[in-house]
Amino acid sequence: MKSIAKYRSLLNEVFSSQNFASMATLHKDGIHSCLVAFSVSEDMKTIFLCTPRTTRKYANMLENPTVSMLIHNSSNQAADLKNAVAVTVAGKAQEVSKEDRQSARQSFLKKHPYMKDFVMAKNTALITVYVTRYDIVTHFQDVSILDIQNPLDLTP
Amino acid sequence: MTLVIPLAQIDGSQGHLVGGKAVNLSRLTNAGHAVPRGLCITTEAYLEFTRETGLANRIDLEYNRLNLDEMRWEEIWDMALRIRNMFLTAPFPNSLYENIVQSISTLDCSGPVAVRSSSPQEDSSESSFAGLHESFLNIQGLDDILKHVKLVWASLWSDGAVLYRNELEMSPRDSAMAVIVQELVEGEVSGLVFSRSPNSQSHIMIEAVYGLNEGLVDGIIMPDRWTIDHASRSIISHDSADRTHCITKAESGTQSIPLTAKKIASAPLTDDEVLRVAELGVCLEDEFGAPQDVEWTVCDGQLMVLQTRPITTITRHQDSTDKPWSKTDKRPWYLSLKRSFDNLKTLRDKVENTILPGMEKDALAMDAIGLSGLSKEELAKEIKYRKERHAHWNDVYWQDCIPLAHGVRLFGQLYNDALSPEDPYEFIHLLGGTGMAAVERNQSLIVLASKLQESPSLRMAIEAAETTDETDLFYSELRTFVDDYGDQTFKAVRFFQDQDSLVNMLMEMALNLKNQVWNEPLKTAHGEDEFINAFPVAKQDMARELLDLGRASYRLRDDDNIYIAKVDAQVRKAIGEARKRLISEGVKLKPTVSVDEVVAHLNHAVKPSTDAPQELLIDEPIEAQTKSIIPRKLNTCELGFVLRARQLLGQPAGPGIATGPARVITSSDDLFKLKSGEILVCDSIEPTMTFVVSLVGGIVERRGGMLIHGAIIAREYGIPCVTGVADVTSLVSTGELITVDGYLGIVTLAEN
Repeated sequence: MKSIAKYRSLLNEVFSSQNFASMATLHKDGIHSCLVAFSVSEDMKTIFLCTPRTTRKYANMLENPTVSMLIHNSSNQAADLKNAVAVTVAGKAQEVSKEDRQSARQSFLKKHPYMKDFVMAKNTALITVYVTRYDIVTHFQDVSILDIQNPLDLTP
Repeated sequence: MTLVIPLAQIDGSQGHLVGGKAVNLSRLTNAGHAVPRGLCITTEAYLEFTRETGLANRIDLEYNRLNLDEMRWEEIWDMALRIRNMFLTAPFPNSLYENIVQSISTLDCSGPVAVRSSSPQEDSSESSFAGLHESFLNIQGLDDILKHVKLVWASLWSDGAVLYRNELEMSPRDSAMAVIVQELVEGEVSGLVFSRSPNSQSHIMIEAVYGLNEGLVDGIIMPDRWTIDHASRSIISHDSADRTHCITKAESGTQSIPLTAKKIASAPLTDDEVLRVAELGVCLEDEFGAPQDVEWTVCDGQLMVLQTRPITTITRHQDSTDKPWSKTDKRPWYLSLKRSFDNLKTLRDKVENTILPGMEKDALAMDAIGLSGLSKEELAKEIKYRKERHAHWNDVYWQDCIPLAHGVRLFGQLYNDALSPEDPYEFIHLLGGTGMAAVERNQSLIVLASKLQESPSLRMAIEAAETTDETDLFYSELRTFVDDYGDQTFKAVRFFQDQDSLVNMLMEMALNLKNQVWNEPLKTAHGEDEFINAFPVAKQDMARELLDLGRASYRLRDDDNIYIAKVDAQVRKAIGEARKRLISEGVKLKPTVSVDEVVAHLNHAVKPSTDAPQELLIDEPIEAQTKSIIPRKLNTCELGFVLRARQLLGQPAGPGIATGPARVITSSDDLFKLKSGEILVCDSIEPTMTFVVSLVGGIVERRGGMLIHGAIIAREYGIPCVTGVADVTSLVSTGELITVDGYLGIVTLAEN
């Protein structure tokens, strides 16, 4: 029987085992995808990542906060079709405010301590993605959705 | 890589390559016992084949598509059939082909061979795969030998083997299969010897039949049985069998033929021969250092060993109940239902000519009794009688009707073996359109709906509850329908109890007749000639007989439910009469109560209170139909998360794609509310509820399988169908827009 507890546990398993995610951002002429290091808050409702402020994704996020991320544990083998779990995140991105920066950095660096210099650099922006929903794919074609109740509204 | 090893060259350390059976045969050969010559195609050849053809990954995907522990036996069988077909249709990689062909040529065996399984996991003293992996006798010609090698490989994934391996917690991914190709010895007498009898360690037990061993091993031919004292080698007893037939070599494969009068009259072994076989058993017990179960044959007076294995110490779990179908996990019982062709023919005759007419006769006799004229005591007695009759027919249904369904599977397997089709279920096209009772009933409904569709004045009169000549005629025809089929609908409700709902449904059907969106059953079967012509002329009669059996099995599998429902309806009628009387006496009724309590009330064993009306609950008298199908509630909101399904995985059971609002069936009310084009979502479709099928756009069932009623009726009507969708009645709500993909076996819920 499908249950929220079961899917939260599955999400936790995937997020713990994976360091990187594909992220797509929007600009007025199209979509831009890139690879980012990420960490997830304990309640699994926010995702943290870092980016220099000179990147396309940063510019895109300022223009349109809607982002999508793909986090999966596939191993590039045929067996992934049955074993892999793929999580598509839909959310809204926002640069972390000064007052929240310390806790966000801690969360990110706990998972990626080797990226300390990058995180602390002046031009690096710490981004929070407020998750609106997770699309979770198991067994190749079994898809369930976990919506976040009352997600933060970042509509410009 | 060692792909093939001659039996005589195998050494004891190669068990992982050749399996225990081949190691033992080699040991026997080298110890000087008479053993038919042969070779072993190793597990490395199996692994090479599955790797080179890509089957390893395809099997992995198929095997892991759904959770095995949650799969019903039908789904496991379906999976096994799909995997079997993958082997049948995968060509041999060139290098492997050449290697095996060259080795078989050096065997210097131009005559028929036996192709036997020899899995490294089978036949240890802790496990026995006897009968779960396949072996084939009398195979001739290289192509046929190679085809049967593939079938033995595929039997590693047979339903029984998969389930047994799962029970033993063996990983199927680590499994591989070796195959023995061995000169066929056509013995005059064959049998088994247990060097220690399963009944007593101090006895030897011998079983013997005329002809080949196949009939004895498969349980088709009853053997003569001897018990011999292990210490003194003296015969203690001889149980003579009712000897009628034996299995012999046919043009290809084997056949069952009647015994001569002389053989019927005499035991297959003389006392001297019995002692010789007993001696062989003891000799092999000494040789292998453990009690042995030995297959032997006598050919031209020479006693030959076909195989030996340790007597399994493990015993399969036995339930104390004498009705194995009443166990919670019925899968092991279902998997034991495989029947031979001859056995199924006998069973078909019994079901068609004795059981179904018996059910109908019983129902008619009950129907002839005027219930209103019975005293309360007589009515109580009648209810008890009807309940007993239903229980009797229910047992007969499980014991005889369910096993008959295996006829479809036997036919399907033979069809696939003969034609190696890409679609492993292609055979079903040959089975449909055979006049199932449920389809006939559904056609009668369409005739009634046509009358409504053709006459606006009739529709208006019915809607206005007016009585006209036209409505009189229509209701008269409706009564005839109810007389013929009135006992067939869903769960507790019968047409005769709820005529208004029936009329409403006919109105809905009439609307759709006008719009031409209702589904018509398939009328034509095709491909029969291709199937028959795939066999050599000498075997075409057998193929026709098997097709006939498959069709009968397909039809009767559905019809038996319709007939037992007739008896069920009579139980309900009697309870309905009791209910009416008790209400008139001031007893307040609730929907559920045991039949015994009703009987007690009628017999005044329970006295109604004079102060307040007593509550009486009338239950469903049929155990099989009392199972709640109320969906378990999905915990949709927790810790700020909301869970919903987007795409659900099942099995593709009826090709096609349909999108429409879901109609989730949890009660008969839901069924009668069904509108045309809706997607029927339910726990399982019973033949008694398929009258709505002509209206639906698609079918989704929690219960899985390609040959279950829902899948059968969906294919009859050409409706997209997905079965085996776990928790579907909890995950989908009535009115929700869903898409049924009957090609891929997925159900998608619309986002908005």
